[in-house]
Amino acid sequence: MPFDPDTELMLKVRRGNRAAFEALVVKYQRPVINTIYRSVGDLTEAEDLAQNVFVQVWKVRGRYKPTAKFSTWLFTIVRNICLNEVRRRARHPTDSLDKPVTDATDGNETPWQVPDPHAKPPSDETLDAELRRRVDAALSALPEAQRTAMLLLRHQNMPYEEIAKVMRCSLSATKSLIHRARTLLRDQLKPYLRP
Amino acid sequence: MNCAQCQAEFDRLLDGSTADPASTPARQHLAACHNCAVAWRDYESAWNAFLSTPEVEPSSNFTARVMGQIDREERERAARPWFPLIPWRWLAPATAAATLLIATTGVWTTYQRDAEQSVSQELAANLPVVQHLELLSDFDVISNLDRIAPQLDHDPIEEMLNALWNS
Repeated sequence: MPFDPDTELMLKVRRGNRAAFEALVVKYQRPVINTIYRSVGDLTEAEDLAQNVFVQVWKVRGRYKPTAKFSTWLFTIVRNICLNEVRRRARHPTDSLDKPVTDATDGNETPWQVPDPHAKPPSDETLDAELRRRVDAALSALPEAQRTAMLLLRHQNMPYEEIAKVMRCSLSATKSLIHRARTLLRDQLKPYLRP
Repeated sequence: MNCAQCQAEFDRLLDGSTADPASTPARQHLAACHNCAVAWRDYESAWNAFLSTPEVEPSSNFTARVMGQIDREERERAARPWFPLIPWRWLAPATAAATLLIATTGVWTTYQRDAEQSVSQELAANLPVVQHLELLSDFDVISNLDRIAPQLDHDPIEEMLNALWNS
């Protein structure tokens, strides 16, 4: 395995080094929060779950083995925590059609929207804002594995081999996941894409 | 290269460099096929739209919150009584296994002893001495023969053995 500075940091964390742990939190908070946010759709909840991810890293630091890159190990924990959250929500659904959705990028609250497959494409003036919302909706409509693979590719710029390790599947299965996800994304966004 | 093969190469076109020689046949097909060119344009645009969505910014105090929670966890762990620190997760099954082992050994030993005794009883049934059990009816006398022998004018043990052999 090539030299990975984060693995070096994590080995220090394993020995109880808090400064090394803090450095990893600073470095990875953004991709971790963004990955979780795209999965759960709520920034406050994404931060709480990301906090749980890092606390979990600290708690299980003694079990860390530098057999893979640190990011692979970290995002495996991220995926497990997201999966648990998705399962928890499936058991206790709480979403209401009246509940407003907070847009994390501009902080505005918009009403909960149900996608209408027969809706006409929006006008050019609102296309960018609408496209952003549609991307979020299309992403949340993807199956969990496809969505996670896409997010790892985007936020972490992770090679396919590493994504395969996080997803615990083969390289060819990972390529297939990403291809299907991109195809679904294209199909969902087609009415909103500029020619 | 046909259309299906070309569209299967879209990810290579998207992820790889434009100089990748493996993508050349797909690029040549795209230049010649309008349908695939449209499909590729949408595929690339959708991906770019996904990439262009702004990332969310973590709260400025996120690191402090994580470190604060780590501190709380550590303090709580230190303040916890010793009882929960016992690794019950491992100790309970280990205790159960040890108990089972001891019980199994006990049962096995008992079984072996019974087996030995039953073999002895089987052998004893074939011994002449057992066939003449009436001789042993007064066990106290026989067991005390050594002690009373000097008081007799003959050896009772020898006499008894002779009687046994002769029978």
